[in-house]
Amino acid sequence: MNKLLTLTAVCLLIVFGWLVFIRSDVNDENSKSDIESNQLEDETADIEQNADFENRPALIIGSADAPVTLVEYADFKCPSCNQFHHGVGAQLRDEYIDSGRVRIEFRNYPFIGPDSGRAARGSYCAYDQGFFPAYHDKIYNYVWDNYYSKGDMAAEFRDILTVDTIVQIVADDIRDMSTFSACLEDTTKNKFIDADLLLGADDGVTGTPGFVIGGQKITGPSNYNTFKTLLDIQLR
Amino acid sequence: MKTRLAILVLRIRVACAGVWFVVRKPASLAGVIIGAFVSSSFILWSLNLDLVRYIVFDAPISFLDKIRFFSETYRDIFTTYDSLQALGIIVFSLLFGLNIVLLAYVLKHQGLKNIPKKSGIGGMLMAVLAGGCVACGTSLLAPLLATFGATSSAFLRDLSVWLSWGGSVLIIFSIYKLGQIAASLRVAQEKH
Repeated sequence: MNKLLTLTAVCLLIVFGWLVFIRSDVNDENSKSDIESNQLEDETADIEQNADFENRPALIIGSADAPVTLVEYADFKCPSCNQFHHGVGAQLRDEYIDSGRVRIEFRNYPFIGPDSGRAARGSYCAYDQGFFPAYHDKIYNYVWDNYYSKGDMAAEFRDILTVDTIVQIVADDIRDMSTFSACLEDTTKNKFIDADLLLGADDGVTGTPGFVIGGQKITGPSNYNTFKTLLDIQLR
Repeated sequence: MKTRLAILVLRIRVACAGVWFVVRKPASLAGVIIGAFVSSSFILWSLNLDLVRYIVFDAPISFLDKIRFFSETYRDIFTTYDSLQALGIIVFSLLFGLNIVLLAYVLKHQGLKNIPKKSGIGGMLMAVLAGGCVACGTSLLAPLLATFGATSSAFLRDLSVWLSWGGSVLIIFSIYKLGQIAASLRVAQEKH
């Protein structure tokens, strides 16, 4: 019995080891081939054609001079991104961002609904008027406080971030109201969002929230220590 | 109706006795814990295998920090995931470990001969379930759980919770069948 159990345990560990150290290579190959085949699709071709990498501004939270960058791919409407913002994200801001050691580069990865795209455009509109960090926090807080923290997950399927709503949320920060409103409705900023999406594809992002720290990718919800470990390595 | 219910209760009690007979041994208990650990690790880390590899082999941190890196994932499971998701992962993993140990025990003593030989898809499904191969099915489910659990869509998050609990129900059925076999093996052993 003992031998059999030992054998079972060893087999389980071998399977897990195989999944960790070999399967990920296979996954990489598969994801590469998936990306290559997807590139043939018209939609992706449009995104590639439209994407503007050269003029795309970096949406920074924290000190621009911070030595380490944490890249965050997110959708303002995604529940996990909201959960991250109000949990681990808040801890990271206290420990690393506010002290100027780390900066977050936010990249839009909108996919849930049309208002995801609108909110993503808004991030670049807010950048133009110099209040992106406030925009980032206020939009997340609005969605979290009014919907997800109350368990209203069905809000995901409703158009909750209308132009009027977004304008109301950040009214105190807007310098030029008419320009900001027009910017939200105009699709000009989509070229930057397309660039964000393609950068995400290059970074191997498959879902939100997705993060990259010093070339290491973190997919999905992760605990504070995962970020702390990677950030501390980069800060050495 | 009463008789059927009484028989069912009796079967469950027999299955529980069979499970207890196997699990009460320290080695079996260790097997359950190892199985649960592997299963939960797979669910928690399947989306970040490259990161796991980096931490294990390349990260310039001490061995203790590496241990802490992984152990704190379990400590923080209720803050990283919502309560129902976290509980689903824990329950599913423990049942998975238990199922593996029971399967190992039954295979050791009886091989595959106890699998019912029924015809048709239903019979085949029953055979797979009775043979404890729910574990195989659920191992396929695990990456789905992790993928869905990590995705941003609320719909898929809810689906992941249902999948984990659905998987747990299937495993419980498998444990029930294996427990009955283990109980009969115990009786046979005691006769000898």
